[in-house]
Amino acid sequence: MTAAAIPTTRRRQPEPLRPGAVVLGIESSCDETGVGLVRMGERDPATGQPRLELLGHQLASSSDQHARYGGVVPEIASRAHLEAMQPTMAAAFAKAGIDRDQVDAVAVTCGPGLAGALLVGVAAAKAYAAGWDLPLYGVNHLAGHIAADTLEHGPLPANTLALLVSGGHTQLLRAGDLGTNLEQLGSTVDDAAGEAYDKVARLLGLGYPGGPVIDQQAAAGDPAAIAFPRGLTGPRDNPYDFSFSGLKTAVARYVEGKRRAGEPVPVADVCASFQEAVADVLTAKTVRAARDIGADTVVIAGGVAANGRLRELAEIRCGDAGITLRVPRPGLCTDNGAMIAAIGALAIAAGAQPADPALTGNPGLPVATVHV
Amino acid sequence: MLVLALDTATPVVTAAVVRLLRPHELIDPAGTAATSAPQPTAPRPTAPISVLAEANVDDAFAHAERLLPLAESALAQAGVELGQLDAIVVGVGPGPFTGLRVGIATAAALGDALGISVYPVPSHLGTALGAEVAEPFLVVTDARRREVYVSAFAPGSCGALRTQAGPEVLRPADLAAFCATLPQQPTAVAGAGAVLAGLDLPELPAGSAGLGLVRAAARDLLTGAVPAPPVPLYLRRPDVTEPSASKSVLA
Ligand SMILES: [Zn+2]
Repeated sequence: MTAAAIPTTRRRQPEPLRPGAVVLGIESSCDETGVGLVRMGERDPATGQPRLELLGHQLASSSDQHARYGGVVPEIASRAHLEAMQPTMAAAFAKAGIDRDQVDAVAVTCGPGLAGALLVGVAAAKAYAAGWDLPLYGVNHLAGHIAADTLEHGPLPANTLALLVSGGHTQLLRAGDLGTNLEQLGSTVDDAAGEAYDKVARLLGLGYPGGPVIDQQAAAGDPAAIAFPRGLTGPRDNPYDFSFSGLKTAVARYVEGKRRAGEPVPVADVCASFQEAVADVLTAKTVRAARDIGADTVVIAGGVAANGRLRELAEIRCGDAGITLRVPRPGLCTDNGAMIAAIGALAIAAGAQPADPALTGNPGLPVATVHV
Repeated sequence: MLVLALDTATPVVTAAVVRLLRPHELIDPAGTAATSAPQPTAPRPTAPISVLAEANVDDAFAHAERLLPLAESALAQAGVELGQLDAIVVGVGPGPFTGLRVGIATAAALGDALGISVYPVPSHLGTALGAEVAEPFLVVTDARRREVYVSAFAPGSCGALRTQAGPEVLRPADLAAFCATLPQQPTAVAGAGAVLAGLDLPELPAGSAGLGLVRAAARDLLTGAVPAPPVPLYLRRPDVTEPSASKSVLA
């Protein structure tokens, strides 16, 4: 017998577009299992986008299990997603204070991300949608990161540039019409910014993940102590692309030089100078891109957006350029289910059709594909 | 009671809708004599467990795409709606990890959404109980990386089936040593990995995996036992090594 999709009889007609409709989001692309619940509000007259209200979300992280390996181990992450899915779902509903029959649509990250990890979330989302008899939307994780900001600061203006920075991504994106369209202007040619933090932290023996601990160490150091290189900032380089591999190597060379000479490594100064190089390149390229495309708003999203120096320098440079800067609160910067519910809601509002019953994970989902 | 049986432990994706009769339904097959008018046209169930519909598709790399549509098509063929299901039985492997997890994630979420129990069953036991054999035999499936998963079964008392050993993950070359430890020597082999086993034993025809899975869980289903969490039988540790602290980034 063939696998032809014969839909079962629908028990009720969900209306995910009506104001008040609730969208559930499921995230499992890396090492965080996330479930979030978002309520669709009235459309904002200025942008035509719906206002979104975060009802509640829950996260389960397998980060601790990866720490000893210095990076995310896909098989460990996949095992953890499977164990965490139902408890995370139950906790998200408890936090949101709503019942399961109040949900109107299900959205799930279908890419980009780790293949095995994505499949756990996609399989679960398909089953929840079928069990609750609700439409399912497969959405883009990157667009979700940016959509997280709309939960806190409202709809995005048409001229919005997004800088997405995390352990897995470093991208400049045109994000004004997020529900339908995401255009990549540039991305990293080697390591992601967060990856560079992890590698430098490992080099200095500071543990994993590297972001928070380097940020903390840097507070006591001199950002001008060591002149680390700024990747891809030459006149012939692509102004919107990033490279952190050379920076990481320069830090390694400096640290090993000190160790071979039997001198102490000035950890705080290394952290401060490394962090300054990262924040300098990220903000300079972001402001340049914003000017070039005439963006009046910049959103910084992703796990590295929680970095203190990046936020500070971005505020100064955007302020000087007359650009409004928006950064979601740290809890919404890392991977989570609320951001997936948010991009699901925006896609529905923009007219997205539910996913094919054969929906699956796509580790290399193109940036431009906001939903499938 | 109506049970959905799912298995994704091998390249074959299985979804079956199975009717399991409670003891009182066996005595009074229609199960309605005391409470409602007789239904002369309704077919009288004769077996305690009957497969209403079973769908199998051999597609090693598309478990996530195929499983739920396959389940929906089996339900449609059986004339059963998701909301009418009383329980779910899921094969928990062993099996190559990613596909196996798709079945378990689907079963767990569907059970959670419908508010019904999900009963885990070793996939080899499902295969064994679906095969209808009265002699000692092996179930062998492909574990990839030139290894196989193997379990040994033998007829027990009152027509029951007993697990002699397994599931284990082995190289085919070690199967003879595995068999040597068994109280009852296998005389046949079942499962999709029978060819990989390279043993000089007759290959058993595949039975109904859905039937076997529900048979394996029948006692728990009928007594309403609280199921164990559906945890995959991985049999292998995650394939990783810790980085050495002294490794140079420049190297
Ligand atoms: Zn992310």
